[in-house]
Formats: sequence, structure tokens, C-alpha cells
Amino acid sequence: MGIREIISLIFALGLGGAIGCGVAFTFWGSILNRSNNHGDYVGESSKYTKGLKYSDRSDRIKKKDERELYISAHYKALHKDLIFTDKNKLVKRPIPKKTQEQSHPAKGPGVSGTPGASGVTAIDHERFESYLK
Amino acid sequence: MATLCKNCGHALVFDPSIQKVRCDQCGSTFAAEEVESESKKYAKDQKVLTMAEVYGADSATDGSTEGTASASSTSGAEKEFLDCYIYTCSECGGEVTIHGSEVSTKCIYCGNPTVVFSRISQEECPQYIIPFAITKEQALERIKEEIGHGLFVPKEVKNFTPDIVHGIYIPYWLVDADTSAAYLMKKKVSSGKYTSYEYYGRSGMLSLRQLPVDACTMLSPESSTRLEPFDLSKMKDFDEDYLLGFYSNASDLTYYELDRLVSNRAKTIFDDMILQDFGRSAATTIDRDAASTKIDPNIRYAMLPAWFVTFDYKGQHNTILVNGQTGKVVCGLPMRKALFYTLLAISCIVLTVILTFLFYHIFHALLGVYSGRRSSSNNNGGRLIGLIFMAGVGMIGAGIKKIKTVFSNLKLTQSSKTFNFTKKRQE
Repeated sequence: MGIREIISLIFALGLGGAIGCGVAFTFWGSILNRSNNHGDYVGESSKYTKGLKYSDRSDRIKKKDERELYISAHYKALHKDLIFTDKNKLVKRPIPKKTQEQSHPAKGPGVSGTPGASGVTAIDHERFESYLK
Repeated sequence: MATLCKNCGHALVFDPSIQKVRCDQCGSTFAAEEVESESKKYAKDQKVLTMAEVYGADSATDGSTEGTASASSTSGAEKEFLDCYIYTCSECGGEVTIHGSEVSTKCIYCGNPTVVFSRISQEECPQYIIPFAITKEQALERIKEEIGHGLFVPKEVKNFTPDIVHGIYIPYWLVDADTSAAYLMKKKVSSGKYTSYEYYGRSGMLSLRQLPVDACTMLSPESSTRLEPFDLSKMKDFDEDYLLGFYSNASDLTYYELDRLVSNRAKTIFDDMILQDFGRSAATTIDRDAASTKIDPNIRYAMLPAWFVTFDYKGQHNTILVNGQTGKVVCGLPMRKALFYTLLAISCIVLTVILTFLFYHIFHALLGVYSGRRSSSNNNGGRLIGLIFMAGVGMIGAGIKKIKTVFSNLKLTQSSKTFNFTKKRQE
């Protein structure tokens, strides 16, 4: 067996083993989950929420495991900043004046039930920029 | 202190199939609101305990971190209380708290049949209740349907004989809360051979309404959370007569615990909302300000129904939960390990052999074509191989995660805490 064949075999074994075991684990893991796990979040809850009405303010919440919750949750994004770094260059989008004003006073103490002055936790831009240095 | 039928004097029970209170003896049915419990008449003559005597001198209703969680009323009206009968065991001195129609026949701690009525205590009366809509027989039927087809469920478990079947009203606090937090996120952006990073700032406000929080420390929050969702639009004003024939627990959650549970849950939902902005796996959080969660003091106290069914398998107690309103079955079942691992091993070996054979011939051909040539195609090929390998490893990880989920849910089902919550009741 030449060196080429050995290299091919090693690569093939590594890749074949990874993919083969990956497919086997994923497949049988899913079958086991469906067989022995009940009331968990994935896919099952929808048949129990069929026909339930949500309130006007509710959003259907999908957690990463696709659970639907019968609670009302409304998420509102308040600030969006974007700063690019390319390999050698730092490119900043100018921070709007409105965001600057909001960012200064409201440093939430982070204790439940006691929000900051404006009631909203603001982005700490100074700390933010330290990650880019 | 059972509620008695006014026609024949037999004890009444609430029947979920007709949503009315029924007499087993004469078949009479009454709406729950029409029936006046004997206990309500009896209680008028008894000494009423103050809140401080029930909860202790430090109890508060204004959202402080000490004391028991308590429903508050924005109108300032007086709270209502539920009478509970305290029996003392003559043998071990243990106290047994009885609600509604439970009859104390023996001590749940030592089994002594001589228990003596001691006094009436008062617990905060719930404001709402969702009556049972699923009967005991329907609950058992639902369980058989769900677990009957599992490939890896042992036969003895599929045909289990229930040991204990109790319908229990679980106390919940329905909470409104607002959470705000700020996140610094980092997202990798690849285009061709160049990689760059984008940094994002996100802050937001999450408003939660009617978040149900399990108010009973005897039951694990993981079990009670999985019972959800309940259709809260079907909640009714609380009436003791809905409890007839069922068990119930009172809230024993401190305000501090309530705050902690709400904050953790709000944070989890908030994290998910933030990630949805980016597409799930693309962005990572590099920093976050501590979230601040403000709970509305107007928390509502509700009783929500669940069936608890226990059985034994290989010396282990197992408890299956069934949502008493929707019939959702919650459990993690013991598995046929030998069958599962055998099938897994055989699949791994067979697929590895087939794919190795396939890839071997592909690589052999590719190496023959590209030998002696160093080009960008080789680099691309190397990257592709690496990517495929990582995909395979990722799939193994995903499969292992699913298997771990089964084991962790089995642990919940076999938890002694849940079993004791079910078992330690008057029969």
C-alpha cells in the first residue's frame, strides 16, 4: 500500500467516522427523545395550544427549543449601535445624538426591582470601545 | 370537613367531565357556585388568626425581600382567607394541614390512625382557579396513548399499573414584570477569504404579562414549568368547591424566591429575543449589563390543576404529570439501554464502513488528480474536508445532547421530591 493510499484511508476513516457516527447519534438520539421524553418543548406543545387565543399584546415566543408559552411578552429594542472592525481598520458608525443623551445618566445598578434613572439599562459606550482596542 | 349533598347527605366531589359538583350516592349535580361548604359555616364560629400569626411578624405585602409572597389589591380591599384544618398526631406530634374535603384518617408521617383536630389556620385565599377539565380516567388514557408507542420504552413501563393517582391544584403566582438590559454582541462576517467582526450594542425592554410562577417549593420549578401552557383565559374566580375531591397546596414561596425565579425566567426570554435579531447562532455576547427586573406588586394568586400518577419500576418511584386542563403529559421514561446502545453501535459501524469506503475512493482519485500541484483548489479542498469533519463532530454533539436531555428528564420523573409531593396526602 503506497503512501497515497494510506493518506486517503486516514482521511476517509476520519471523515467517514465523524459523519457516520454523527448521523447515527443524531438519528437515534431523536428517536430516543420522541420515545422517552414527553412534555418537553420541541414540537409537542403546539397541539396543546391549538385553538388558544393570545391577547392583543402577546407575541408568540419561541425559545430556542421551540416552546410556545401562553404568556404575553413584548420586546422592544431601544438602542442599536454598529461598529465595524476590518482586519486592520476600525470603522465606526457615528453614534446619534439621541443615543448619546440616553447613554449617560442611566447606568442601571443591576439589582432587581431598582432600575436606573430612566428605568432603562443603557449601553455603556466607554466600556464597549475598550473591547476594540 | 366534607361538603355534603343537600339531598342525601353524602360527600360531594367536583366532576371535571361535567364541570359541576356531583354526589356519587344520589347522582345530584350542582354548580360549584351554588354549593355552600360546611366548612364555610363552621369557620364562622372559629377564632380567626391574623396574618402575622400565619406568616410570622416579618411578612410583608409591599414587595420587600422578606416575608411570603402575597397577592396585593390595587383597590386596597381586605384579602380573603381560606380555612385549613390542622390535625395533630397523638403518636409523633406531627401536624397535618387539611384543605376543603380532605378527611384526616391517619398521620402521613408515621401512619398512626389517631389524629386529633387541633385548630383552624388561615391561608391566603387564591383569587383564581382553573378547574380540572380532565378526569382521572382520561388522564390515565392520555398517558397510555403517549407512552404506548415508544420504541425504547420497556414493556413493563408501557403497561404500568398506577400506584397513586392524585389530582392536585398547584399554587401559582401570575406575575407582570418589566426587564431591561444592555448587551454587547459580536458577530463574525465572512466574505471570501476575508473575515471581519461586527460589534453591536443592544438594549431593550421586555414586558411580561401573566407569567406563571410555581408557588410551591415542594415541587421543582422544572416539573411545573413543563406542565405549561395553561389557558389562562379559562380562569374562574376562586371557589372552594372546585377543590372537592382533589388535593391542593398553599403558596410557601418567599418574595425573594419569587423575585429570583421571575428574574431568571425573564432573562432567559430576553436572551432569546436578543439572539433572534441576529439569527440564532451567528452572534455571541461579549458583555452585558446586569438586567434589572421590576415586578408589578399586583401579583395574582391562582390554583392550576395537574394529575400526578406514580408507578414503580425496578425499585424506582416514577411520577408522571398530566396537565389537568389540556391533558399534556410530562415525564421522562426509563429506557431499554441494551437495545438503544446496540442499535447505536451497529449504525455507527455500518455507516463508518460505508462512508470510509466512499471517501477513500474519492480522496484517492483527488490525490491522483492534484498530486504535484499546489493550488487554491487544494486549499479549498482542505477547507471543505475540515468543514465536513466539523459537521460530523457537531452532529455527534447534537445527538449526545438529545440523549442527555432524556436522562435529565428521567431524573425529574424519578425525583423523590416530586414523589413525596404526590404521596404525602390523606387518602
